[in-house]
Amino acid sequence: MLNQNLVRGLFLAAVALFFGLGALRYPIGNLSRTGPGLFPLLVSGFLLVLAIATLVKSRLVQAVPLQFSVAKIALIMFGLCGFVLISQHVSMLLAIVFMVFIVSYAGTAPSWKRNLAISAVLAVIAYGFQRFLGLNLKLI
Amino acid sequence: MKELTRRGLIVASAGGVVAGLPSVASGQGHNWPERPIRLIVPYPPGGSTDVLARLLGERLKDRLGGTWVVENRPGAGGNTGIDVVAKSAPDGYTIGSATVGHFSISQYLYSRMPFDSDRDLIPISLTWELPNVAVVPTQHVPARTIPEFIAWAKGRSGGYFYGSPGVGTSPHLCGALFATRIGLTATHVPFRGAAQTIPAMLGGDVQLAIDNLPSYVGAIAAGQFRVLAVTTPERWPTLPDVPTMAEAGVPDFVATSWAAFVAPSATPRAIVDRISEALRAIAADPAVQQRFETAGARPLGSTPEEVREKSRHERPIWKEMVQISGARLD
Amino acid sequence: MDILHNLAFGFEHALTLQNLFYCALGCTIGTMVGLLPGLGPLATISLLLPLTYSIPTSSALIMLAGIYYGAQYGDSVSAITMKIPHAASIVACIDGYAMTLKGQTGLALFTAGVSSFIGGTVAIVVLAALAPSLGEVALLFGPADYCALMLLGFICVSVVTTGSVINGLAMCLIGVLLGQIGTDLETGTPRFTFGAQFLVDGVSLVSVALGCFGIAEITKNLDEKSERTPFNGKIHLIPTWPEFKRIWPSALRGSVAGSILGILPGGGPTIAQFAAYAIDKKVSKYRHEIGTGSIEGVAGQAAADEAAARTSFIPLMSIGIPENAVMALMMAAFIIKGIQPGPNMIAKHPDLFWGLVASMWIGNCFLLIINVPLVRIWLSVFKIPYSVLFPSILFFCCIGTFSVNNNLEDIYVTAAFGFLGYVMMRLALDPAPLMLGFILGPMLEENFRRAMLLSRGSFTVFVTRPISATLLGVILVLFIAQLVLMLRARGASRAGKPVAASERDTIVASPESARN
Repeated sequence: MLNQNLVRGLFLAAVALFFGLGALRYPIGNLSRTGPGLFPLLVSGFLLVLAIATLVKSRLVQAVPLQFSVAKIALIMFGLCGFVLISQHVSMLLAIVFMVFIVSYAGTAPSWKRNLAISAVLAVIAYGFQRFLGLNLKLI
Repeated sequence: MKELTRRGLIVASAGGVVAGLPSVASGQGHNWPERPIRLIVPYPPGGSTDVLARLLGERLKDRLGGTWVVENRPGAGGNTGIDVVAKSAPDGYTIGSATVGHFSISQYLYSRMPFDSDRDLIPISLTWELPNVAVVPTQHVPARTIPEFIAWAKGRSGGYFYGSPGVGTSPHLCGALFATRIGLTATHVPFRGAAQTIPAMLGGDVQLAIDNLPSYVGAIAAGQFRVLAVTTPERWPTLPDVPTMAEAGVPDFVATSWAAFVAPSATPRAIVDRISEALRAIAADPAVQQRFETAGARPLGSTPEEVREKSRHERPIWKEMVQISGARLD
Repeated sequence: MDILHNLAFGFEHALTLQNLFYCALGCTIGTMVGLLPGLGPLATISLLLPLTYSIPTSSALIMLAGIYYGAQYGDSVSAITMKIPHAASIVACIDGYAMTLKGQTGLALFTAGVSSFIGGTVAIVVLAALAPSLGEVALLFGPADYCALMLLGFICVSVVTTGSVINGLAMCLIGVLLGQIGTDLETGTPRFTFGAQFLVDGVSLVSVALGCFGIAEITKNLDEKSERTPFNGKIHLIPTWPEFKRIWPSALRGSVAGSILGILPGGGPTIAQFAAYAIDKKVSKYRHEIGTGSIEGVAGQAAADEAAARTSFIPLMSIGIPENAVMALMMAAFIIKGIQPGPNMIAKHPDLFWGLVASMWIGNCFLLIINVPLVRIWLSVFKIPYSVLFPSILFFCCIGTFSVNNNLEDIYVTAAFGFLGYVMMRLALDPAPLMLGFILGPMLEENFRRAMLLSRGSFTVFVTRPISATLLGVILVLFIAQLVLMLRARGASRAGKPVAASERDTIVASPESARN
C-alpha cells in the first residue's frame, strides 16, 4: 500500500521539477528586463522546498494509505477525448452517444436503454443550444 | 446533404458544368446562401475587429440574405481563426475577417505559419481601415507636435516608454520604427490591450503609444490624450487638424491597420464576387460610414485583386518594422 | 439631492413596460444559462449579442446587463448543488457544496439568493453615488500597486484552504505555474506549450475549474459508489430567524469588499469572492465553522460576487475602460449601437447611464422573485438518479469548455485537468488555493515585471508609491500577527495535551480555532 503523504511529496516534487527544468530553457534576463524564465524558476524553486518538506514530514508521521483507482477516471478521460475526436470528424450526435455509453461503465449497472434515453435528451439540448443560442455545434 | 447532392446534380447537368462536388455546384451562386454563413473573427469578442465585423455581418444579411453568424476563434495572435478558415470546406459558408497582420506581417513574425495567405486564402474585399495614432497623455507630456515631442524626449535620461497591446502587434512595430526614425532610445512596454495601456498612460508611466484609433476615441474627445500624428498616407477625416507622419517630419511612415474578408482559396469565384460587390456597396453607404466613423474606422470596399496588390505592396515596410523591433514569435 | 433626482430620472427610463420586459428577459436567460455547468456570462452575452441589434439601445444594454448578473447568480447554483463552478463561483464550491453534503442545499441556495440581493443593492448605491468620480480610482493604481495588491491576495491562501498550510501553499504555487503556460506577454516567448497551438494562449480558467472541481468530484462519487441518493428529505428553504441573522453581516461585508474590488481592473467578481471569504474567515463570529459548510461561507462570497459584477460597470461607464472580458463585450455593445464609452458618456447619455443603474436594482428584485421560489425546482435535480445525472454533467462540461473559444480541442485540456484534479484529490490536496494561484499568478508576474521595467530595475518603486507602500505594510502586519498567533497557539498546545502531527497542521491553518 502506498503512503499518501509520501506520494504527495513526490507529486509536488515532480511538478516543481517539470516546470523548473522547463524554465531553464528560457532566458532569465536582468532586473530591468526580466526574462520569461525568471518567474517560473522562482515559483518552482519554492514548490520544490515545500515538496521536500512534505517528503521529510511523510517519514515522521504515520502513513496514510493512498486510495487510487485508475479505471474510472480513465473511462471518463476516454469518453471526453472520444467526444472531441468524433465531434471533429464525424458528428456531435454520435459523439454524445459514444460518451454516454463509455462513461456509463464508470457508474454502477450501466444499461443501454437508459443510455439511449440520456443521449436522446442531451441531443435535444444540444440542438437547443445550436438553434437558440447560436452555438456552432456540428450536430450532424 | 442528400438534398444538396441532388440539387447539385441537377444544376450540373442542366448547366452542362462538370461538377462532381455538390459545393461547387451550389457554389455557382444560384442557391447560395441556403445555410447560415459563419463569419469567423480571429479575436476575442469585444475588440474592434469583432465590433466592425459584426456591423458588416448585419449589413451583409440585409443585402445577400441568409444568416451571418459571427464566431470568435481567438488564439495565437489571430492565426488560429484564419487557419480555421483556410482549412474549411470551400463552399462559401465560411468567411474570415482577416487583418493586415495575416497578409503582410505574420510571415515575418512567426517562425512557422499554419497557413499561407497567398496560397490558402482568397481575399473577398477590403473591409475597413483604421489609422494608428501617435498619442501622448495631455497631463504628463507637454508636447503638441512630433518635433516638440522629440525635443522633450531628448531631455529625459534613459529615453521614453511606449505602450502596445503585445509583442508583434502593429502598435509595437510602429513604436519601434518611430524610435528608430527619430533616433531616440525608447523602451517597449507590452500590455494586454488598450484597456491597460490607457490607465498606464494617464498615470504617467508610459509616455507614448502609436495605437489603433478606436480604443482612444473616447479619451481623445475628453481631452485626456493629444494626438501628435496619424500613420495614414493622408489626414484622417475625423482628425482634420492632426498631421500625417510625413507632414510632421517623419518620412516613410505609413502603416494603417486594414482588414479584409477572406475565404478558403477554392471557394467558387461567383460567391466571392457576390460578397465582394455587396461589401463595396456597403462601404459606400453613408449610414455605414457614419457608424464606422464613431468607432474610429473607415469602411472600405475593393476587388479581390486589389487586396492581393495591397498586401504585396505593404510587405517591405512591415518586414523592416519587424526586423527593427526584433520581435519574434513561434 | 442630486442622486435622488438622478435615480428618479433613471427609474423613469427603466420602468417603461418595454425596459421592464427586457430586464426580466435578461435576468431569466442569464440565470438559466448560468445554471448550466460551465456556461458563463461571457459566452452567453457574445452569443446573444446579435439579438440586441434590432432593439433600442437602452433596452439592449439593460438586457445584456441582466444576462451578466443573472448568470453570475446562476453560476453559484451549479457550484452549490453540483460543485461545478464557473470563474466567479469557485468559492461557492467550498462552503456551498459542503452545505449540500450536509443536506442543507435549500438553505445554501436561499442564502446565496438573499446575499446576492444585498450585494447588488449595496453596489447600486455605490454606483449611483460615486460612479462619475470613482472611475478615476482605477487610474491611481500603477503596476507596483497591483503587484502589492496581488501579494495581499496571496494571503488569502491560508484561509481558503481546508487542509494544512503547506499543502495549501503548494497548491497555490502549482496554480501559479499552470498560469505560466502560454505566450509570455513581455517577450512573446511561448512557455510550456510543447508546440501545441491550443496552449499558445494558455489554459482557460473554465477548463481548470471544471476539471479540478467538477470532473474530479464526479469521479470521487463514482469511486465511492456513493452515487448520491435521490433527494427526498424535507426541503428546508426559508431560514429560521437565528439563521437569517447570520446571513446579513457576512453579506454586508462581502458587498463592501465586492464593491471595492469590482472597480479595480483585472479582477472583478473572480477575485472579490476570495477576498470576501477571507475577510469572513478572519472577522466573522462563526469563523471557525467556515470551510465546513456554514452560512457565512456562502453569504459573503455571493454578495461580493454580485456587488463586483455591478461595480465593474463603473470604469466602463465613467472612463471608457473595460476592466474584464465581459465589460469589453458590453463596450462592444455600446459601440455597435453607435455610442463611444468614454469620460464624456455619462454627461452625453444620462438616460442610458441612470436607466441602466435603476434597471440593475429592478433586475435585483427580479432575480430574488425568480430564484427564491425556483429553489424548489433546482432541488429537484437531486431527484434525478446519479447514473443519469453524471453523464449529463460531463456533457455540459464539454459544451461549457467549447463555448469559451468555440474550440473543441479545449475539451482535451478540461479532461487533463479532470485527471490532475482527481490525482490531487486523492493526495488530499485542495483545489481552491490552486484556483487562487492560477488567477493571481499571471497578474502578479505581469505587474511585477512591468513595474521593474518602468523603474528600470529598481525595487524602490514598491515603497515610494503610496498605495503600494501601504498595501505592503498591511501584508507585513498581517504576517507578523499570524506569526505571533501561531507561536502562541503552539505554546498553548505544547503546554496542554500533546497533539498528533496531523492535528497540529490544522492549528497552523487557523490559529483562531485553537483559542476557541
